Amino acid sequence: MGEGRAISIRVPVLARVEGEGALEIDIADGRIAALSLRIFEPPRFFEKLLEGRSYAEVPDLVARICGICPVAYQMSAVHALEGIFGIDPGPWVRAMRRLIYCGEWMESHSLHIHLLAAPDFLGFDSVIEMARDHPEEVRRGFRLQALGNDLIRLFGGRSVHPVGVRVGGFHRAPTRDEAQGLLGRLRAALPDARSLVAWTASLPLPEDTQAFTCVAMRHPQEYPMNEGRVVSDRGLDIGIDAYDAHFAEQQVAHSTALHSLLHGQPYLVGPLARLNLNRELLPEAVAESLDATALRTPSSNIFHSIVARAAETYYALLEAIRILETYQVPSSPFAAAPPRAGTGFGCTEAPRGLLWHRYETDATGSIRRARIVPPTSQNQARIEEDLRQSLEAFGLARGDDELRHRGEMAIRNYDPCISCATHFLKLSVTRR
Amino acid sequence: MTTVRILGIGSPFGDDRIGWEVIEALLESDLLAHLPADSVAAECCDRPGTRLIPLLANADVGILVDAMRGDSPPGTIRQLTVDDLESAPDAVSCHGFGLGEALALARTLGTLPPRLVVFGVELAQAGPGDSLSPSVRAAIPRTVKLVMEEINASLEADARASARTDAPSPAAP
Repeated sequence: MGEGRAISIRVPVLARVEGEGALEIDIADGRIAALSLRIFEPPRFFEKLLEGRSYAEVPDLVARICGICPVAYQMSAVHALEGIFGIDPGPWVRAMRRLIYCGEWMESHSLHIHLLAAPDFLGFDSVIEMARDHPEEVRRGFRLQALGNDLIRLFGGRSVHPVGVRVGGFHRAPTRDEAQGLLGRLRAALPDARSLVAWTASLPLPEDTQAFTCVAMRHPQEYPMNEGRVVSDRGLDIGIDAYDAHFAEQQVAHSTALHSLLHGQPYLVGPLARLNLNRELLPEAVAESLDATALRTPSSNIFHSIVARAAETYYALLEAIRILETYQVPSSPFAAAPPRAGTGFGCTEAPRGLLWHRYETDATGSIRRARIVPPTSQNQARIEEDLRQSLEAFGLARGDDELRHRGEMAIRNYDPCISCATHFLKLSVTRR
Repeated sequence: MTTVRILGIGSPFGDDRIGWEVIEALLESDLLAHLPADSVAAECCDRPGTRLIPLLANADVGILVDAMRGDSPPGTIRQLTVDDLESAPDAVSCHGFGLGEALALARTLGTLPPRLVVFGVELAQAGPGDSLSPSVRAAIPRTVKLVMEEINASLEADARASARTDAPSPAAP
């Protein structure tokens, strides 16, 4: 086996890499004449793949879109389909959906904070270097990530996908012992989550204040996850079925991702937008941890996203504890979902922001059309706008390496599904 | 007791499922039946990235099965070490975390299992679809056999080591 020592291992594009990123900047007379961020994005391909498939297959199929946030895709999909079929799965399913979403927020946010974003601010090229000097912080990231993963696996039939999710609810209910066991471990992690907020706020974050529109869901009683209206800080307040009337997707030549615009303008979705619009809905403990930092909401410094992510990690942990404290095994973990023809919408808060789905079904529940608008494509126009402003402010006369690093830092704040590729962001600068 | 973690790494795309299929074949066979369940555990992971680190932590032996794209015929199996993976320039994976990077990070944190083997199976295609190419599917029995040999070799090495430890030591001078 293995005769040659040179080994080339390539991971297939579709299989592992969430996307590919390339940044092209055209500089003329010391100004940015053109800037484009190229993204390859898988959801477009999945929209076609879903056509003709049964509604029952949808939760499993959409979970494949992203290896990091499969639950988000499942949640938007099941809400949309249940809307069509006219069913309400009741309070147990509602609470458990919140619980599984808490797991995904914890997992995704702690991964981004510790492994992707923090090395930028502490001056390391990668988390592997950072782990030599800050091993305890990296271990904390893994502890929180693993707990999030365990919350998701509480419902999972298999470890591969959270296939426990189905239209109408879940395939299985966790036992009381499973719930109690995890509850104890979640409580033990509270100091980790509290210290995370303070630690992210203590990082040397750049001051880069920009004007942008924040868009998130809002629910009257709770920090938004699965339900609510779509609101902005410029007065937008609509039901999720009215999304199309206000948000338009545009094809741009340089990217397979569609650019999504609100009334023709870029906008921000994700943790900082959610926090800016929903801060008063956070429990006292999270609010206090934020009060102890320099972050004041609404914040217009996009670099505060890492602190928002930490606050949401703390929130997700507290929320998961709250839900598990009164956990009861239900008589059935799902409601019957007889299919019917119609059109339905689902909009939930993925870790990276608003994730909007629209489905049309026929009378047998077969999918006639699907549309999926993921957070990364919604943020893409905002990322380009941010890059123009932040790179000009940074100084375009600087070398390509410096520009690339600053560009990567700016892009990574949005935790796009191209985070992976932006480690290897291909930068091409044309200077005239 | 020696703890052995066997992980099939993959995604739901064509031949990239090979890691899962090997684990499923292993679990469906009765090959693990004679081994203590609390010591030897096998599972499938979907694009685990850094989740590998907690999954492998505290294990004495790690055995990973993954698809690889090299220049060998589809279905070729290679036994790789952490050093092989760390030096692979194109090992790009989910969110910047390829297998090599995850293992390098585990090593930095001091949680890498002392004995770790990766079996890479050369893939033919990794498009949409739930099925494996015939040449890749044909590699499953041999990969299962290699995994079992590695498990048995690890357990025997451990048994020999503990026999030495347990043997009455010569009288202290």
